Amino acid sequence: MIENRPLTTFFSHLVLLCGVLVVAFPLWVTFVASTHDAVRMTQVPLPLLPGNQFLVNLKLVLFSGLEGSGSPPVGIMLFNSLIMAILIAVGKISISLLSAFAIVYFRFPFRIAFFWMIFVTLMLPVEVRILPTFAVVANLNMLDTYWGLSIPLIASATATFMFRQVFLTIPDELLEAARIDGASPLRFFKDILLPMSRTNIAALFVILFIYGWNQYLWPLLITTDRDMYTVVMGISQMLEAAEQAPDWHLIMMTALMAMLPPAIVVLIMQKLFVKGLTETEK
Amino acid sequence: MAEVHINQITKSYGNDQIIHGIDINIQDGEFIVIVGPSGCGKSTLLRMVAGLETITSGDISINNQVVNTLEPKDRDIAMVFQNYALYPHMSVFENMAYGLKIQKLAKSEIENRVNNAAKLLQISDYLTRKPRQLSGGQRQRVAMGRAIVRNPSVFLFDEPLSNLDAKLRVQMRLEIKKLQKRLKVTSLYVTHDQVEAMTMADRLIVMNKGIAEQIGTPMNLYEHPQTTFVAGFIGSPAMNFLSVKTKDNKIEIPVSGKILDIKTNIEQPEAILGIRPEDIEIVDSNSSDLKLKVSAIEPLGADSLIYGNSEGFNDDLVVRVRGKTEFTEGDTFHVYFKREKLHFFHTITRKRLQAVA
Ligand SMILES: Nc1ncnc2c1ncn2[C@@H]1O[C@H](COP(=O)(O)OP(=O)(O)O)[C@@H](O)[C@H]1O
Ligand SMILES: [Mg+2]
Repeated sequence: MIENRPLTTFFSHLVLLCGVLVVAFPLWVTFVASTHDAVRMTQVPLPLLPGNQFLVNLKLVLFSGLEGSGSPPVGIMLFNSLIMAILIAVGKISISLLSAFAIVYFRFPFRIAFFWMIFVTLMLPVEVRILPTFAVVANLNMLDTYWGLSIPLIASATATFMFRQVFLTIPDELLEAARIDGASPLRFFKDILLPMSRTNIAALFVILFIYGWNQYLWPLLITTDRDMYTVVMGISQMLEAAEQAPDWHLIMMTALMAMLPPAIVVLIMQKLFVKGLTETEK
Repeated sequence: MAEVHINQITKSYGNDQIIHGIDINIQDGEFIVIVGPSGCGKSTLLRMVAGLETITSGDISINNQVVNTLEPKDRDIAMVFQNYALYPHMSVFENMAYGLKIQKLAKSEIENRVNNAAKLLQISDYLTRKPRQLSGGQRQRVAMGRAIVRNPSVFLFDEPLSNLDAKLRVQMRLEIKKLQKRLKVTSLYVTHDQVEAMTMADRLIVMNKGIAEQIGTPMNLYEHPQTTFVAGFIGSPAMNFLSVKTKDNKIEIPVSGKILDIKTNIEQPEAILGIRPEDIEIVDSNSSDLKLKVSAIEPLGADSLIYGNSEGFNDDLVVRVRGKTEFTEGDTFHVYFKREKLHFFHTITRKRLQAVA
């Protein structure tokens, strides 16, 4: 729809601007807070312009952490979050690709039953099955490990369905041409399905990375070792554990750090991400 | 190069029988066209030869080896699909080389074969392009190239020209035919277009509802159709059919009451008379077989089609005349059926009757 009415243009921009402000203002406050020292942050009114303590705060947070909060330096937590998010994203994508491949291209007994079993997992996110899952992970001696952090979050019906949908749009003749060319099923998967799902994989990676990064409850439950803390749970630890008034400048700096990696992933993958969600022509 | 023998082949999906026992013996280097209306089982038959579809009963042999249970890649065939089925993420070169790469041929050999095929098909300039950067005709050539580089014993084509525009279709059908003559590879070509079938085939197979109605050279099928289906399917516009009465070795056209001056030994009291639009002459009332009223005129340039109707007819009778016609809608005219071009068919079995003694 192309319209050229100044008033409409004005109002639509106004609405968009309001939206941007609502989203951006807290971010700005976070950033500003991370550039002041502790003293300034206890005074009213709170500053709305950046101070000069950014680098000092950054160094403090990254390498030494918050005194008395029980959290490790944020550098370590960022690293843990990164590993967990990548394991979850890569793991989910791999498993979903393979199971979608099986469901779409193979005729095996109980195929439909398996399909519905996968479907049912949609109704069972970690939060619902958290106690039994904890028991299983504990029995497998995976508490305080990266595997323990990521594996229970890996099984994923949504991604399986998405890849199933993608595969269903790929014409059968492509498989037949590949069979005549002599490609084995795995070869077909590797040489044709994977490259053709490239953009979808990228889009899903972005979504799953953020999903993994933002995990809170599960890491909180299974990590007792400080060195395994993830940054999202770390932030709230800082708030709760502090006996004295919270060190807002450091907490905000940590929050800022926690926001960065997902943002970077989105920025890098932006083009593929949009393509993967909108592209229809194969 | 190979002979292909298809022996009493049938195909069922569950309880639905799609192919009802087909026999074809294909000579080495022959170009066979399978033609029939959409849904008659042409693709299914071809795909059974390719190994993409299981065979319910009967057997198929290529080069005197029964291939019923062989994988497609082991049958020494190559196939060209209607939608080309090119790998969209691979360049033209990679598309053509993919099968050879899987066969683990030497790199130099692969390049050699791909380049030769590309030259043959005049696509050498596009080798680095992706399929989506090519026109329909060029994609078609790439699909052909992918088949050629395999050096197969048999080419299988499933309506390869259906997605092209009319002009390109005519050009490509000539090229495919020439290419096949040059490479001398036994070919099975499926189409629903009878013109394509007539022009390309050494022999053609007319299929209908899962059976092979008739197998023969295009002219043979045109001149001696064995069933009304073949008679109506081959030739454009289609053959005209009239019900006629036969008595005392004579044939009567009930609509006009005219008794045709030919002897017949048809025993049934009724038969179907078939006459092609080009075998009808416009005459004066003296030698008229039938009087018709013009219901429509279609000028084709070189020829014109006159659609004529008469009381007692369901369908119009089509007459083909050279050049322009002076008639306009509503005019009446007389037609004469060339006696040596008459076809007769059984009213129930719809099989050809050897009518003239
Ligand atoms: N996988 C299938 N399952 C059931 N019926 C099928 C299947 N494939 C094709 N058919 C049926 O077989 C018939 C012949 O199909 P096809 O060989 O594709 O026809 P054509 O190529 O002559 O148009 C059609 O009636 C179609 O519905
Ligand atoms: Mg077909």
